[in-house]
Amino acid sequence: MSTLHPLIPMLQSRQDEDASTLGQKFSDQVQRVLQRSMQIRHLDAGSCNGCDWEIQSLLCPAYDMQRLGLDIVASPRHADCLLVTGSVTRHLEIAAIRTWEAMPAPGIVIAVGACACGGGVLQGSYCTAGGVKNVLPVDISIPGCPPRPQALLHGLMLALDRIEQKLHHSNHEFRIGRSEA
Amino acid sequence: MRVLRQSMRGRVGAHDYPLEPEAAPAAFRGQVQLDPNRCRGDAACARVCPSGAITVEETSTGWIWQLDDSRCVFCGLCADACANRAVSLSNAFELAVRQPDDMVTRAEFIRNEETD
Ligand code: SF4
Ligand code: SF4
Repeated sequence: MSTLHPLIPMLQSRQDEDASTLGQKFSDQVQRVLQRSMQIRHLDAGSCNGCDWEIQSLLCPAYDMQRLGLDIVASPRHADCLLVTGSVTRHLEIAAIRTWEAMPAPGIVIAVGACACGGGVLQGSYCTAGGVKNVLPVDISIPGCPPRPQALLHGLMLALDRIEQKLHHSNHEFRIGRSEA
Repeated sequence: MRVLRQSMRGRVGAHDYPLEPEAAPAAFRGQVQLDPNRCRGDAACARVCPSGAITVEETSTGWIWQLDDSRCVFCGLCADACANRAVSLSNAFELAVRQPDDMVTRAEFIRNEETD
């Protein structure tokens, strides 16, 4: 028998947010923070389309994310947050940066899927950036290959908290810093 | 098929997910879990992992088992490869985090010479 090191983390204890209590107040929170729905822009930066289909299924009647006050919009200029899938291939690096620059402050970036979070199976490849975090400032990461629609909703809840945090604690420097990103 | 039959019988509504907790199906491959009492540090899981999410590093006193959720593709090969059945795939799917470092699980083992 091996002896356990006292610092071994409990594997299950990492879910710090309880989804049910968060979800109860979620629509109210969207209203309170944004005074409208949360607008999401999806950017495919070289994904295999697995993650994209899970995002698309959020719009289907089965998951119906519009009932919660979330919607996918057609332009980054309308968006509060950017859902990036794929590990950011070389060709899409500039597109990803331009999309981010087109977003109004305080735009937040959500990395969806193993590829976007840390490169996934494409980690170390010559033609990808190895994850969105190497190109854009990522606020929320949703691992999974692909993540379940429920996991995406969980991530979007964390994203709303992050927007609230940014809106309340943003200062002038933050806004200037963003335009240089 | 079960889902189809259910939806034919009843009213079709949206999943209640964020309002009600919803468990993943039994066969779902969720977050990789390590049973620290069974791990012997032979690194079979790290060798088969296609994305390099698991690493097992030998140290002078034992080994360090490390899982990077941000690279895991939930294929389940590690659970198949582990002869001691220390690695298993749980049903946990709510893995979203704010800090990328939070996706890394690290377990440090100290080898016990008397029994190993
Ligand atoms: S994380 Fe998996 S499903 Fe998503 S884009 Fe990458 S390979 Fe495809
Ligand atoms: S499930 Fe697959 S990708 Fe994830 S740690 Fe195990 S072998 Fe690696």
